[in-house]
Amino acid sequence: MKAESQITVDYNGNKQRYISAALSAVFMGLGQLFNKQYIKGSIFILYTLSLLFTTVDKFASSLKGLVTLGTTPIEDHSLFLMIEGIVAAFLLLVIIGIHLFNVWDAYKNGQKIDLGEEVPSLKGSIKNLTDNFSAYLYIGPGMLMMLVSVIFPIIFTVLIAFTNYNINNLPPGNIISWVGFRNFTDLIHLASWRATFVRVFSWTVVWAVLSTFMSYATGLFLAIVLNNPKIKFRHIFRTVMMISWAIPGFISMLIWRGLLNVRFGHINRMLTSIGFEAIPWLNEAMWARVSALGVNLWLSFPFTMAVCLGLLQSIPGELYEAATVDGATGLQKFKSITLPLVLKQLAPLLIMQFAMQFNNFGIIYLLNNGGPARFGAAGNAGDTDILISWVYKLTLEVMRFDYAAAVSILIFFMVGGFSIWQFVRTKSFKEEELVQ
Amino acid sequence: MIIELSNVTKNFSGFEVPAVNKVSFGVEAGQIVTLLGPSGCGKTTLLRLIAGLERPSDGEIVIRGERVASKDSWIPPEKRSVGMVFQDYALFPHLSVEENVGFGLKDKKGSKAKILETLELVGLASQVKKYPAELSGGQQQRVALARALVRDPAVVLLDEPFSNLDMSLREKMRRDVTRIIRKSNATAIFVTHDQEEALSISDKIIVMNEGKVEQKGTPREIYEIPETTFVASFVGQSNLVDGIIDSDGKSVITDLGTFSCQHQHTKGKQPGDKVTISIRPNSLKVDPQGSIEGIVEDVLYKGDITDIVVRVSLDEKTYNLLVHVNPERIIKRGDEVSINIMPTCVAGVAK
Repeated sequence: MKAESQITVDYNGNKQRYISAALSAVFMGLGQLFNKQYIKGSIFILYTLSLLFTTVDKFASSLKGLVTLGTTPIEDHSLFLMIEGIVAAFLLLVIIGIHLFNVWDAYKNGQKIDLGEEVPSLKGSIKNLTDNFSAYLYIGPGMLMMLVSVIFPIIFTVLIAFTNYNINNLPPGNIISWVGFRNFTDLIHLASWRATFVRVFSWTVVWAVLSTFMSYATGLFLAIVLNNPKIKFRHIFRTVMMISWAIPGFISMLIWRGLLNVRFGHINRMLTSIGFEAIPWLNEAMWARVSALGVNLWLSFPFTMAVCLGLLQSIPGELYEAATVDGATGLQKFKSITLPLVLKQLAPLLIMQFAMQFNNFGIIYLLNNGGPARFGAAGNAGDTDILISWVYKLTLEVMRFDYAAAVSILIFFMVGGFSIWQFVRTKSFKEEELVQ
Repeated sequence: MIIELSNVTKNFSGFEVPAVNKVSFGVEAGQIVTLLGPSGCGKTTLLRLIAGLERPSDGEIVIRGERVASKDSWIPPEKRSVGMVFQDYALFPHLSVEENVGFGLKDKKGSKAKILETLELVGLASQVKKYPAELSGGQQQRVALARALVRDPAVVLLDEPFSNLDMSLREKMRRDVTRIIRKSNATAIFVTHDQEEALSISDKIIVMNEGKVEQKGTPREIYEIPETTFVASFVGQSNLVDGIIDSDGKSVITDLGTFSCQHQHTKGKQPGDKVTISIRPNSLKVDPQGSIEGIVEDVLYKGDITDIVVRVSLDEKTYNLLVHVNPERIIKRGDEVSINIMPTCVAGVAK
């Protein structure tokens, strides 16, 4: 047996694998035929022929549609063409994938012949396929869902950012066209857009930083207070503090909106009844921002308090006793034990919280709809509007889909970039196992 | 005396029995003293009372002639001149070795040299920049010891310092730590439940049970002349046999024979009084000429020694005697053996 296989090797050399791979690369299935896998080869050939005869023109027109986005208004709908084009591009990737698989398969089986091994029959091939690729079969539906519900919309948004899809150019009456980076440069070059963008962007950063910081400072402070065994009824306090977390956020935001109403709100009524002047909580830029931050703090501190309470309880009591024996005062213990240990564990959460606040559409929209409105602001950006609520207005109020998409991409890069930078910078990930 | 405790009592609310009950003892400068007892006997509470992490309910504690805790005086831990090594070391995970050791030093200028000197003493001078998690258990232990020693305390308190280490490392650390403590002329109080550890490292052992001191003395005294049945059975293994004092006032008559107990614990007893004697397993020998016959109930091979349990049935009573035998001797369960008792190694103990 051994001698025989030796002879086969000599006879064939190493050529079979390369020849069959090359044949398969040129035309799917040829390599398999060359490897004497006739059934498999025929299936591949049939598949290729059916593709060639039925879909080539469709692919061509779809991809052409993606490039031109239509030629005749009314007849061609640019958005549909774009979506079709994206789908076609994806299918093309799948076809290319199958083709590569076919080449790889021809190479593998050619190699088997080179080494004098037996080439599997069709039955064997199918068994091989189910053994090695069944995992892909199981995750397939999930991947498909992801593709349709996550990846497609993202790609669609990204593509929109490079078009002139806006109120002046609405399909099907008009044809959308590719404009390159003009939307991005417009946000910088057009004075009114630049002013608004810079204002909204700076407020967004201030908003994200302040609301994250305030939420953690308050949460940590309350957690430390409530963690002190000397406080009576602390379990009751703890529970009461959690209530604002337990109520659905959007209901409390709408209630706050009512409470803060300048004329009918209870807060101003109370103030005026004891002799103060009414405060324009939601109607003046500065006060509106204070209100937004305050309400957001009210909503967000229970979570951070709960987290901090957990972290505090995880610090071993022995550390404090060791510090006591070494003569540390209460403040020193807080500064050199509690704070560093809690902050180290909090770091990843802080990043998440920052990203969340950066995009905290709900509170801005529900509390004050981004208001008070500002006369002449580009894209209707009010004084409390953050980037994400501005994007909402850009799409639904002023129909600047192109700018909205561009701003979305900017938000993505800012939040993503910041998160990556923070994750790398905080050692909490590198030294995770060291801290515990 | 560098430390003196008199009648120290600690009651915890919600517990009827005091955790520490009228404990009195003194520690001389440079001594290594061990508080030995089973878990829950109050030894750790006692240590925390000395450190100042708990306030005594009654009694007083004097360190270096200064009354640090009593009914009407209280000196907080940091002013007591005590250093403490915690069971889990309690190193600050976010501080380097150097920062951990220097944590309690107030004078930041002069401290650098002192920190290095202390780390040199514990053999960690090369690890100053490392973090606790990067060190082995033994190294962490030594950092904790350095932190306790760095302020030249009157006394170093060590709470079960070796219980987290594995067997082989424990032996080594025991030797290292006692060597370091002796070298630095520090006075130390260890807490342990490991009788072997207590016997091997201490100048003086205080055996505690249920909050009270059962016996204090040198390791040799504790092992050879246990005063109570608790000490006899907790420190080392022991066969306890009841008997009565013979007419000479010294010997004890038991079912297994008559033994002369020259130790003081039988003094003051009248002939005819009931006593218990403790016979260590190594005082029993398997000997064909032995006077006591029994059947081997159990064989426990331990490598360097074999423990066998011999059932001796006499007229009224059955004794299960624990005997150490040479492991080379092959003994099987069910064998009939004769054993001999070396009468001089027997201690009479109070019930």
